[in-house]
Amino acid sequence: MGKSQSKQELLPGTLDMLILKSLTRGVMHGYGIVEHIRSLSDDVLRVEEGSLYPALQRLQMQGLIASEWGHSVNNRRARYYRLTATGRKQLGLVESSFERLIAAISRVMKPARETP
Amino acid sequence: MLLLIRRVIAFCRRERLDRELAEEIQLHLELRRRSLVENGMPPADAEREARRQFGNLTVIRERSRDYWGSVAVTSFFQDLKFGARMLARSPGLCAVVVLTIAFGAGLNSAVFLQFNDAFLRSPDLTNAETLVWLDDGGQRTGGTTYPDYVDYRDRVAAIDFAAFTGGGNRKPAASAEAQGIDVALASGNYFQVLQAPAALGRTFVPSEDLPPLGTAVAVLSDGYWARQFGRSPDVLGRTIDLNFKPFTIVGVMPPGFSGAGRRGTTAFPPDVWVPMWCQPMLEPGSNLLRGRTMWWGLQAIGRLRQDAGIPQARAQVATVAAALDAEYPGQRHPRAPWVWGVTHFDSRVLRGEEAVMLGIAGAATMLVMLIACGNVAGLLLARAAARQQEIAIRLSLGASRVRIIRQFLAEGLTLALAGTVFGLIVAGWMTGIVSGGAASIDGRILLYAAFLTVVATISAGWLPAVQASRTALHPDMTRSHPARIGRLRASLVGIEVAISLVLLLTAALLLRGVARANVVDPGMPVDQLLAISIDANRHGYEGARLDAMVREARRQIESIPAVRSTALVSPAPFSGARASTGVRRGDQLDAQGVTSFTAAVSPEFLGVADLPIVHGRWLSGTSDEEVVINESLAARLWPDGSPLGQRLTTGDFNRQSYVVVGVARDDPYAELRHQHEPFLFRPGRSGTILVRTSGPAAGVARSATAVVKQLDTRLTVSAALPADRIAEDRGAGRRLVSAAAGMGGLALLIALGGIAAIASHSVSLRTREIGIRMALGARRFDAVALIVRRALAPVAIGVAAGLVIASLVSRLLERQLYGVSALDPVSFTGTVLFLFLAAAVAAWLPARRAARVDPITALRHE
Repeated sequence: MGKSQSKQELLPGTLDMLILKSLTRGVMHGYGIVEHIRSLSDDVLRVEEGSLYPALQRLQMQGLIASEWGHSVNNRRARYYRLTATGRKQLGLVESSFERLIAAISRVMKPARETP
Repeated sequence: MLLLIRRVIAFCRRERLDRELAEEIQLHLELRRRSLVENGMPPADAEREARRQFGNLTVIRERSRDYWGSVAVTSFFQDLKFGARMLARSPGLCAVVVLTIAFGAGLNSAVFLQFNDAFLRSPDLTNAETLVWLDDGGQRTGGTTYPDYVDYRDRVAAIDFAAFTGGGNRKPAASAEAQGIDVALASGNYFQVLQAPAALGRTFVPSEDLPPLGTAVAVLSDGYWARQFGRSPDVLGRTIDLNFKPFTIVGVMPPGFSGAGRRGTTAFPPDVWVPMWCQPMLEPGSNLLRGRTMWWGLQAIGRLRQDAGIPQARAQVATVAAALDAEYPGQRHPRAPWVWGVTHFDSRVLRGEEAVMLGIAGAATMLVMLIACGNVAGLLLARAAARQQEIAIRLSLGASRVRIIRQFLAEGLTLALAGTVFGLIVAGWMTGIVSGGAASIDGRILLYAAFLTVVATISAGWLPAVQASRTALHPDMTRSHPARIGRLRASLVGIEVAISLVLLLTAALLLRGVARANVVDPGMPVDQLLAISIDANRHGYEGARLDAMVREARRQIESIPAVRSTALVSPAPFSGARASTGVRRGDQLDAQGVTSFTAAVSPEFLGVADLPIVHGRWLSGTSDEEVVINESLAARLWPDGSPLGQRLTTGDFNRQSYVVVGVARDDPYAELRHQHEPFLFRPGRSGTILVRTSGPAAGVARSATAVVKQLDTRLTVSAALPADRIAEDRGAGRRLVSAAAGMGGLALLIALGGIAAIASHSVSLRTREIGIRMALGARRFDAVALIVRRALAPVAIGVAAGLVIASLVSRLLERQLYGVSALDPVSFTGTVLFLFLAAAVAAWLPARRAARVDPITALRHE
């Protein structure tokens, strides 16, 4: 499965958060979400493109996002996803716990970097 | 919940969703390709690169589908299909497994069929939902007494009560008819309450049944009408003789009608219904319609009046019961009656010995089912071990452990389903043979079968499934874990052995009981005893006239050459009738009384029954204050001291005081199994005439009834042989033993199969070890012993556990044991030895293969 040294693999569970966060910018189709994540993270975060779709199905089942069919720029049928109210609330929760986690990890990592 | 609904909706629309996903992915690939081309990649490479970046298309679509639930379903069918294919590859194993499950499930279903018929099936009655049972809470058999029934009928506004008895086979000994007629008693309103009209003629009218008066009419069942009268329509108005009394036939019931049927028994239609007032006529010498402490199988069924509900009916019945308690102090025990719909199952009906027997049968069959499942689990475990390579491959190709477990459970389900269906067929066939009646399949039974299937699937499939899913992904995939699986199988066999031991011990104890019953000395010379009942009080004989008539009857009987002597006794020994009373020491009147069987006898009883008196003397016949008690009662009342000359009182209400003049040896005076139950003889001068003959009593029956009949041709005289009753009693015990022995034997057979399978499997596993041992000089015997010893270790543990369980359970059987101890050492040692021997043989048969192991081949093998 396409692994590349320079690209960072996602922490487990963060894909959902990234999708939800991306959708706060408005409706997007699947390819758009992938590109959005990639460009915002300066190509560091690379979603394994295929794995996006099962995640989208799951989030839809959980009622965090909704979708409808529309037309893309070049006039092809495309499915557009948007954040639901529940999704927005969920994102808030995930975001804050993620921030706490990152803060905790960096507190642990910092002294280790200073000692040598 | 919402998630579930979305999933269901998604599942229904799965094909559309699948198409849409494909379209979406197509777009994605297309956009990616374009962006790559724009960045300067050659179009052909861009196509490939887009797919590469996207990842495994199939996996992604599968995983997406997971969220709309279709995978679970389709993969379930895949599992089943794959399972069936795998099973088809080992038809021998499958046959054994299916048969084993079929056996366990069949036995279980058979018992459940009986239970369902007796307790759960709603009776086949018109508007059954408004019919209720009344249980006056008086005795273990349920039902009520006649005077109480009358009071409930008259005072409970919410319910129309009717009373009836089950059909009793009344076989008038002197009747010309060879076969007895099954006669049931019914109150005059019985058919109205049941809303059952006659097919021909009419049913009773209430005015025909006004105890103690009434009209001698009879309603026939369809079966009897066909058998006896060939469905002749002119049967109405003709008479049939029951106990020499003519009854006018007024109606015939339709074919499907079998009456309300006693609760807790399968309803078989009696031949004939006669009004309730006829009871004393049919059972001469007894009037069961009087007395509020007499339970004799009278049942009350009622129809809820319009707008009345069960709660209201219960409240009214409770009020009446409280009123009766207050109105008849000292004449009846206070009771807590209960009313429930006939279509409902109420656990209160499960009382008495029937319930115990049913419980034992249910538990025993469940145990057999578990043994069967244990064996199947053992077999499947071995198979799981053999399939480790296949599973390791599946795991390494990305199958989840859950999926592997599901695969095994699907296989288990296939086997369990086949087994249960087969078992159900066998059960229908078995009950058809056992009860002769057709126990029909209904929804409840199918539900029960489904339950058994689940039990079998889980108990037989779970262990192997979990075991298989633990398969480690060793680089060397052929490695297996014989040790762990061996331990699991061993514990299964241990459990099986424990269960078989319990069942076999039950059988052994019952067998000892029957053996004891066969050698239990009835004490009296039963072959030379004849009990003559006369319904004199039905024909105006009372007081001195009655005494004179009975005296004359005895004189006539004694004048028959083959008769040695006669006595009066009530109730007669070995007649099925029993009387019991509370007995208290004269100096401890407030103490809890000892319940003792009792009989009122005339002084001649001593000679007629050859009664052995061990202390003191027999009743003098001149005092009504004397009693003779048996050794058991003496020991209970006066554990340290002589009872002779001591006073005691009998009865809980109408207390009577007596002086003990003698102690009789512990003999079974009423029933064989009562040898060591308390018994008390008190003076009496009425009841059955017990005749002692010099030759076989059966030969005298006809002449004895004839001479009494000459005194008054209106009299109904019946003769009964105590020896018949004893034979019947012994026969019943034998049936119980064969049932328990059959079940225990089959359980053992299954367990032995498990032991043999283990031994056989361990021979294959240890071929190499045995080869080495032999190469180092071990004898063939050692090789066999090694295998047998290993196989017997779980047996020993199982036996130990089984002994503990059995010693706790066997107490429940005490009543069936005729005085054999529930911890009878002979049964216990015998069963354990037998089981060990059988287990050793079962292990030895496959272990012989170990002796044939050729060291050279064995070592070259791996």
